[in-house]
Amino acid sequence: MKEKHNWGWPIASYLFLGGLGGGMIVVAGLADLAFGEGELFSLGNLIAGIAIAIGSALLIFELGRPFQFWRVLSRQKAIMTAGAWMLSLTIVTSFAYFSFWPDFSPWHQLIGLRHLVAGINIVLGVGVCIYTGILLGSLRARVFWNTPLLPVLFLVSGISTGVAAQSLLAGSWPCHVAAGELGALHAALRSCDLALLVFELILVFVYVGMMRFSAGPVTARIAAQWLTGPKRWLFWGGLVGLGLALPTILYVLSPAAGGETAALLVLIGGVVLRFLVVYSDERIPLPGESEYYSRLPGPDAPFLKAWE
Amino acid sequence: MLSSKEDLKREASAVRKSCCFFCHQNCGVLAYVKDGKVLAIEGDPEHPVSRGGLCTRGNIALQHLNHPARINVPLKRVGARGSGQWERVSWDQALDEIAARLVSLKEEYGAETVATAGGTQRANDWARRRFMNLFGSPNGFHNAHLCWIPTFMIETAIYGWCPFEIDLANSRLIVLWGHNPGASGMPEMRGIFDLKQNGLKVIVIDPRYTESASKADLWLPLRPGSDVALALAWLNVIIWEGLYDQTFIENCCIGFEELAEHVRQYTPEWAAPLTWLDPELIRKGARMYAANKPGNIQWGVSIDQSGRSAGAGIHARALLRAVTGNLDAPGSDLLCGPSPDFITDEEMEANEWLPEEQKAKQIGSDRYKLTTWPGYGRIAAITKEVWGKAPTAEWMCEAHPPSVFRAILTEKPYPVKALIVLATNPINSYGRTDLVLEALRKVDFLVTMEYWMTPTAMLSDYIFPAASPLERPTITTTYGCSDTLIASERAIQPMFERRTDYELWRGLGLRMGQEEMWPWENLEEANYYRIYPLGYDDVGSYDEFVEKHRFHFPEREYYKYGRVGFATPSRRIELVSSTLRELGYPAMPTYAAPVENEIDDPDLARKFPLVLTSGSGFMPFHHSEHFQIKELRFLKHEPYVDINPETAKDLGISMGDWVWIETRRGRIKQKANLTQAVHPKVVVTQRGWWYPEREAAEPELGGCTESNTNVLTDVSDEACDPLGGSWANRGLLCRVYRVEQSEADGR
Amino acid sequence: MARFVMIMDTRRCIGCHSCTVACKVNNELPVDMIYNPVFTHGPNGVFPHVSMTYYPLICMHCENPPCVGCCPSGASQQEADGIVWVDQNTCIGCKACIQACPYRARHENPKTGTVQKCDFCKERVREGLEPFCVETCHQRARIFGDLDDPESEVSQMVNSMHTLQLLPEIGTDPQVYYIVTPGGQG
Repeated sequence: MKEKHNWGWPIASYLFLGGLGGGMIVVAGLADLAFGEGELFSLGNLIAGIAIAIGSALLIFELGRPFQFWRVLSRQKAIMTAGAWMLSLTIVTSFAYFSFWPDFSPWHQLIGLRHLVAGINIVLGVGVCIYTGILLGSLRARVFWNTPLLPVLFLVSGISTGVAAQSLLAGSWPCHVAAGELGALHAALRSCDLALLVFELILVFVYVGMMRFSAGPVTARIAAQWLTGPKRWLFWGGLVGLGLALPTILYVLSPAAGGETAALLVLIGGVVLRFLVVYSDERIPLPGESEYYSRLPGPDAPFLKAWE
Repeated sequence: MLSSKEDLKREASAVRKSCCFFCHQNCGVLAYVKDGKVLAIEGDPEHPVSRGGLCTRGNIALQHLNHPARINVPLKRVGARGSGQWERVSWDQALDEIAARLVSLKEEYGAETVATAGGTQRANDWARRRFMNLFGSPNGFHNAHLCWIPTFMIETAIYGWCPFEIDLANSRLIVLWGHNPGASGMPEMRGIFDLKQNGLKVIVIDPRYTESASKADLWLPLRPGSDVALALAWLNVIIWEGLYDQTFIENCCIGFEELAEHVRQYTPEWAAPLTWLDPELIRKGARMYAANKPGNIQWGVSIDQSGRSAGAGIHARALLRAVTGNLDAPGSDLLCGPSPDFITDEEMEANEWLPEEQKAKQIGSDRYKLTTWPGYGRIAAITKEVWGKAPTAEWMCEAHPPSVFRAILTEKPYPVKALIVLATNPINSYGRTDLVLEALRKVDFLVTMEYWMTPTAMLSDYIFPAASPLERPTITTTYGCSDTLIASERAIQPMFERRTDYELWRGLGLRMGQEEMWPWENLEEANYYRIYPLGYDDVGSYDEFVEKHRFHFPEREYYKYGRVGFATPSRRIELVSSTLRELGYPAMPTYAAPVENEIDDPDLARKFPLVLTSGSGFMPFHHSEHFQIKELRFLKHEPYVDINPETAKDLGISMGDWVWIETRRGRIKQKANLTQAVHPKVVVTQRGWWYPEREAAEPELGGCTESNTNVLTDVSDEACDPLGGSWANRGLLCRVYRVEQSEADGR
Repeated sequence: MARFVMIMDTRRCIGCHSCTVACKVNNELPVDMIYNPVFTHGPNGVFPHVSMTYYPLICMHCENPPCVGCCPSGASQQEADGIVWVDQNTCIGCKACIQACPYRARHENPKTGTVQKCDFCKERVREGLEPFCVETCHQRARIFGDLDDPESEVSQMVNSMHTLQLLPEIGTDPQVYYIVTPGGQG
């Protein structure tokens, strides 16, 4: 009876979707405020809101008592409570920001208000990206997560996936810009993502290297699982190869043709990163603990059901 | 959820002073009772031995009481033997039919054709012996020959009683010789810890680094089964280094010169290759025991289970106390003798009713004389002269179990046609499973009284439902041989149609014309008769005694031998035993090698290069019991065999692999526990294993042979101790190899 | 004010698992839920030079309980006497506290959807009784009491003996103190 992973695929998916959504609204907000190009990314805000909403739904689905989920909002001091409020708010503001763009929107012309929401979205988007890293990173029992580098990594990954997703969606309805005019924009986005990817690649190796060589034996063991152990395919193939290196190469070598493929790969990399992290949740074992639990029966042991 | 137990306690209408009987300690249990139901239990803080403590087994009394797999009504077999087809019958019908059958068997074959097998104090054994004596059969038995009884009888032969009462509070050192109270004697271990803080030293002699060894000052990890060599070498060191107690020897012992000369050959250098211990370590232990007086050697079961060398080992160990004067002095091992104050088990047994010619027919008494009528009769006669009473015949004087099982199969020396089994599962707890299984399948008439549908119960013709510890009164007197008594009452009348075994024997007795011999309608009446001589004026019933007094502890009398004398023919401690000599045994302990060993049989050791020891207890189980209790089974749900990592590596075995453990007699499967607790050449199997969650009927029989260490043991006459009949559980040669995946799948 | 703590005297613990079972049956826990396991550390070394220590576990009722701070619903809480417990009515089963606990002292109950844990038998100890695991221990390897009471056994032991806390580097300041002697020898 090994300690099971208390948080599984729904949480990993949520971490990805939250980061993705957060990154997307940051990109849209910045484009609007700094470059006046918000329209290009208008659909992305709808998608971002949906992504965060799905992520939140997964979060609730993972609860032992999903119908009591509202209690998560009830306490002020907990990081998770802050996170829950932020997620709820972000879903609303993402949809709100999107609602300025369609022609039929009654507040289509309220540009000042739109800019205000864009600003809020930038703050919330960064918050959503970082928050998940802070939540995991604050858990001192889970030594592989317990570093300030984790929020940074999640932020960079979130923005990077946000950029990638926005580059795929750019110019879609309700945007009126003709597709031919997007070339320069895509180039800009790719440069941006390229920089983020290189930064993330460095971060990932710093993170894993730090865990492998300068932290305790448990973190070293987990890092070794990533580098050379059972998770090596996921790490080298999934995260480093497909998710970071290949899109980097594609962005560099073939800026025009490889853009969409690269962006898709970046998204895959974001998913893989979250799964790798969530399933690296070991604690420091207490003396004799591992052997004790390894000998306890699983739920299917015949004696457990023989006399029911 | 949080305080429901306290609520239940408040709801109860009475608190009954009951006990646990899932091992020998009988820890005190307070049962909170209402309307014939036990609502809650807890350890009795006022109990003189357990002081409120309860171990894993004590804690599951209610789970045992209410378990859905319990046998609750009498059952009669209707299908083929072992098919699991039963008909519910009344107690009266079952008793009528069984009594009639026993009488007809007696007429045809003689009373001795009926044998009975017992378990560990799950029963009131004097009642069984009483019935058997009145019926006329000498063939009752337990696993007695493996557990304390040879020790008791050898020690009684040489110093007139067994000094099992240890005066630890005043002691400076205790030797735990093949004894692991850390897993088997919780109150005892607590006493040791309490005194350790005041400087008590602890020597542990055990092949395995046990719970107790981990707390010891000195650990002697000897080769399994080589205890006799170690004990002889200790005698050599103590005598020839002049560490003995000259005054005590002069005043109390005879034969010292002869013994000194005899053990001269048994030097630590001689013992080293036999015990695998460094001679200096042997000396260190002997000196430590002799120098730290007063000291104790606590009884441990392991020598009793050594087979051929058991008697010599017990004898040599016993002499250590005598030459160091660690007998009956404050802080030493005390010769308390039987109780003069209450009616002992032996006095309830009606041994005088068994005719001499029937005693002579006791199976095994021609060969294993010490623990059967020839030795017991002789020793009991002397203790009656000196102490006024005798040791319990049940336990101390029993048919030799493997010989009985062989008699069932071969009809030699005569046919044994009926076996009544009482709260034991011989298939798992007696030696050589194939022999037992074959005998149980063949015996004409098999009756069982049980809690569970054990493999043995499954093969029975009738099964009676047995009362749980909370459903019966219990008197604790160390197998009827202590001068102290602790009394516990039943918490409730038995649920369903469960009854005590007393009612089984009385029921049979009444149907055979023994009315006058069974005047007590129930156990409380019989128990009251037994404690009545204690003379409490304020007590009108047994339960009242329990409520008001609970125990009888006479004032401790040291040097009792000064008043009473030693109950031996010479009235001295016989370092050269006349009793043993007259029974045809060596009067002094003489080295006997383990049944199978690398020195005498190197060819065998090449084929079976490892040394097996088995039979030691481990928490949370006891013997072959409690595998059904989920709360316990969850902690140890599979059997494990201890093996040294170095050896395992050579054999390609990893932690947790299923492995075969094989001796000349068969093989079993357990999982490998790689541990530095054992010598690279030693493996230790867990005892008792069967799988009650599997099909109980034939041919599966609860997987009773799969992991059962008794498949490996040796019960041949050559392997048995000539004195006490112990068969070989310890120090056997074996080999270990991986269970291949294909075999594991088909498991 | 009381501050309830427990001392684990590993010199006396022999790994019998009685505490595990007493807790389970008396608190009516699911069969696979163990509040207080006993771990065997060892034998360490090479035969015959070995040592072994048994570590009884339980919720550490930390002075800085990370499981309380992370709880979003407020179900996980600490009393003034140090007892950390989970209100079963308000727990939503987010498992953040399980993730936060370095001692595996918190357990998901799939039937109720909530997280459960040892509460030092708080109903009992406030009535002056001992926790079940303490009461049942033959060896007195578990000692329970009020650290703020200078007369209490726990207070005298903690103040006069060398004790250890488990994983002190995590900063939880666990209030279960272990008496451990090198080599496991008393």
